[in-house]
Amino acid sequence: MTMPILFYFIIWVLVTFLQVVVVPRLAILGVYPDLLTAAVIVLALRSGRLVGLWLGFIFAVSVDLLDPQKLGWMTLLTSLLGYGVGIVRDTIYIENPWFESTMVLIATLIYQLFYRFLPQPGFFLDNFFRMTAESLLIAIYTVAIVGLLIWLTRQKNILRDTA
Amino acid sequence: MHYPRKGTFKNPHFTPLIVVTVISSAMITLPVDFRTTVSRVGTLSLLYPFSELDKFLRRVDSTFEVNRQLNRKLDSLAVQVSFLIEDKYENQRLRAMLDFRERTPLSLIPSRAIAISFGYPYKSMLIDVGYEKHVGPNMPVICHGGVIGKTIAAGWRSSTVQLLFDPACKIAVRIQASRAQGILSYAGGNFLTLRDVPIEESVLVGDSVVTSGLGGIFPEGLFVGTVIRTEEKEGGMFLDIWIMPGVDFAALEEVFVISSTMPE
Repeated sequence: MTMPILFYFIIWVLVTFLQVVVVPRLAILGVYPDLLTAAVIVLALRSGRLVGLWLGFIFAVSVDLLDPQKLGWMTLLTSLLGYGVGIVRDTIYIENPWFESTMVLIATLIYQLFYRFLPQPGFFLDNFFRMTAESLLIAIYTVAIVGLLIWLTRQKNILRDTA
Repeated sequence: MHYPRKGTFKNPHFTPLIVVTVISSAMITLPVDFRTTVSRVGTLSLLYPFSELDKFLRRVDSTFEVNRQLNRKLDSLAVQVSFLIEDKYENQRLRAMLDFRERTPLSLIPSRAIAISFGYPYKSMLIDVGYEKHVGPNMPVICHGGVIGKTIAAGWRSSTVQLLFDPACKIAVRIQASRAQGILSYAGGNFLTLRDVPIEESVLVGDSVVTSGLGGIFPEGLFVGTVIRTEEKEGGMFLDIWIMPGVDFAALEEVFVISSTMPE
């Protein structure tokens, strides 16, 4: 791990705060941005599979506690997602905001689909189109916010480097 | 018997993956009751500050919403109160007019002022009755405070009233107590005047001034105003009398046109 523990702790507090307090208020017609997953994806892309795995586990386990019916699923899927994105980083990662945004979109969509399918497969299949549409909209909403943040960070870095 | 490949568990990436998967799977397979307990304990410990903050913000949201609704209600009630106050004053005026109408032997046509001439002094006003209600030019217009003026032009549903403050408006009046007569005209400001009254007439401040009936337009005895000052003219033969009209011209709303001096 290249980043200090304190940094990850602050990120955990921030992500948990966003997911528990802010995200419900950003919902539009039941569609909300999945900032927790997006944070795991971005950090895994920057720091690798091990960091992705552990951050996925730690970030998700706290938020997972809110839903006893699906307890463990978010932890499992987010951890695996962090690990999987880390593998992508080690193989085909390109340092480009468009690549990162595309990764956020695809990984969030995959996560959302699995998070809906695995705990209740029958319900998912009965409502396949609705579930898929919801997952897609959440992924789009997430990438809209996170993509903007990535772009702003990149602009800030460019300005700093220019100065 | 197969064993894991040498070095698999030493892979720094693989071991944590198994640990995380096992812990997560264990959480998934917990009995429902136990999962609920874990969730409750976790929410009350690890997520306590966040859930409390969330609750607090929900309460703030709710308070804002209630506040917005109350403000809306308050605005609506303020408008209603304003209308009620207006109704109350209208009620008082109408009661006064009704009382006046019952007391007077004159045949009165009620009407409302719909416009008054711009600027002070108020020289004319428009009322909402005309030929349709048998109102024509040169008919006296009064209210419960006294004489206002006379109609000078009439349309089908409106008429123009020349007010006492118009310098061209002249009315034959008399002092009620002394019976001294004269022609009333506008004196400037908020006053009317009666000029060149013989000095031997006994006129006192506070005496009522009423129409004399001479001139053919105003019936006799309509209240016009009150004497507020008398002034002896140079030469000592005549008086100028200053009169405060009984009507507040700035607050005219409901008035009567006198159609005849006979009761209906």
